[in-house]
Amino acid sequence: MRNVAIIGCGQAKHGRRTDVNQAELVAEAVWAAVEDAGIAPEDIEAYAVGNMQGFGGIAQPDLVFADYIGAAGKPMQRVATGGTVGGSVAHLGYYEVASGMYDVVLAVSWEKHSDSAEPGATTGLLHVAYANLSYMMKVGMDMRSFAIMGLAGAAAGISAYQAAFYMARSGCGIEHFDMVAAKARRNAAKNKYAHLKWPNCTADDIAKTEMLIWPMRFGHVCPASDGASCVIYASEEAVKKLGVEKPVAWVKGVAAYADEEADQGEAYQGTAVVDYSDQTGAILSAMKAYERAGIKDPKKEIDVAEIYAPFPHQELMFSERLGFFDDGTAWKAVEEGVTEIDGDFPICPSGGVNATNAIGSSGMQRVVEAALQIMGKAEEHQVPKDVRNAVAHAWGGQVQFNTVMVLGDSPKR
Amino acid sequence: MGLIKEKYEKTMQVEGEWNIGAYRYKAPEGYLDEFVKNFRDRKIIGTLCTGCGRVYVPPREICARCFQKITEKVEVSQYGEVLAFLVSPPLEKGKVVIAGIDAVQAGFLKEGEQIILAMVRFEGTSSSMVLPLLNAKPEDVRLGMRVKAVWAEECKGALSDLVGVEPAFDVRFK
Repeated sequence: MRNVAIIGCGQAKHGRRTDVNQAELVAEAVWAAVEDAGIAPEDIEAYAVGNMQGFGGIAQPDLVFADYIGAAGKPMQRVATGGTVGGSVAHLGYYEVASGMYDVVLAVSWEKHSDSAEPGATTGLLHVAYANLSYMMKVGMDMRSFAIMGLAGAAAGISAYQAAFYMARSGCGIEHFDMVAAKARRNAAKNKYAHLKWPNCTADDIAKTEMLIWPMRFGHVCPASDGASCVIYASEEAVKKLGVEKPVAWVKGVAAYADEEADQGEAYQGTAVVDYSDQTGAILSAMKAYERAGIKDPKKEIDVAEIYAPFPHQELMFSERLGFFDDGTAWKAVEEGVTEIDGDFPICPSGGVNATNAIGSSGMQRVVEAALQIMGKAEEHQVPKDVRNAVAHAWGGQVQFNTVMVLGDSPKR
Repeated sequence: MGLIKEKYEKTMQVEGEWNIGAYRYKAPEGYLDEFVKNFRDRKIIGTLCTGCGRVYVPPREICARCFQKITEKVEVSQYGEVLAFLVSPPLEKGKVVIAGIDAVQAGFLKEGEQIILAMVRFEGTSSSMVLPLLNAKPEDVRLGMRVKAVWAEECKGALSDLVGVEPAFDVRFK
């Protein structure tokens, strides 16, 4: 496998973007990345793209924007892995360069929620759940049960159970979720691309928001954003050939593992996942990515992490599964301020997915933000400590897909 | 891009509707029908994987851990434990809208009721089911509490026969 560097990053402004259509939104991130890399569009040899299928109301938006991003006449591939897709697109772009197939590859992922009436729900989630619901209706589910399902359905519903599981496992309280959400809003206020910004937000501010379904408050929930994120990969030879002089971020190891889906599976079959906060897929992905990156002790060798955590308990849970804290102890680190931008182990200094969630974009945005921290270009939310290694994580599917990418300031030897 | 940004502050919006018509969803024949049919006799029948000994409720056809076909059926206990739970606030109109239907307005859910949802593992099984927890106050619910199945007065062999679970007998030292 060849060494691969991220030579350019681009993000569209995330939020409610009624000023652009999907193609323009994607193009915004792409041209920002091309400009950042300081290369010409002709230098890009192949494109890896993807979003959460169906969420923006267009089933296959990649069909309409190839020419907006200069992909006409070049290879372009789309991946779809649900919420994890940004991470998977980032991996695909990396595979294409690491394998020796291409020297310069652009990877972009995006989401445009606001085009759908109930963001994402109608066109996105129903097409995932409709088959199961139809089947359950056939075997005699009544309307009351159907409505109860709606109380805690989809990713937010599964995550609410997961939060309860995590509380049982770690002994933390809702006040810790408040702290994590407040940190996300505060950090987002320093990030010009973020969606939900709340300067000086405190845990008390979050605690005052409405309880949607215990243990999840309104203040804990991520927004449905529009946005796009993009990185450009180059092989070690191409970095030299293109004359890239500014700092780049080197990909040191990637891994992605699937687990059994949590909750009822296809057509209401049971699964053997009885604790949603187990996240075996995240543990396996992290272990393999560290092995490939030559990281022996993630607690000491990783300097900053961007975790895919739309809900605050997930930042705690995943930071344990990814090996940054011992099982059930991350909330203590949050109490002590360890995960703040200026803490010993900053987590999601960008504000993370909890403050900005354009689903397809979110996984890629973690890679972008981790790379920016390594390059020292995160501006206001740059962590003050020296960043040698950073981790970008993505999560999705039916709670069971995970991707992990380890980035570093020097190529792997 | 420059031109687009200079010219427009907002994109043109065109309202659209999409009638997707009828779909045919395929599901394995029989296995869930049988599970639900047994509800008529107030029995919970799971499937047993002979490879790893896991018992699945709801039943599943293929064990994802062993990747083998499951054919054995076993009746499991009516008692179980709460693995995780959620508590809704008192329900109001306009709060639970699913695919454009207001569940309170339509009468599926009662105004003011507070719903407790529990993830229940029935004794002897290796999987869990989401069921409403009935006849309990939110403040009395705790993780690991023992619950038992609550059946409809008249069971017809439908998914709705299993109404939910309620706290099992509580024996304490006094």
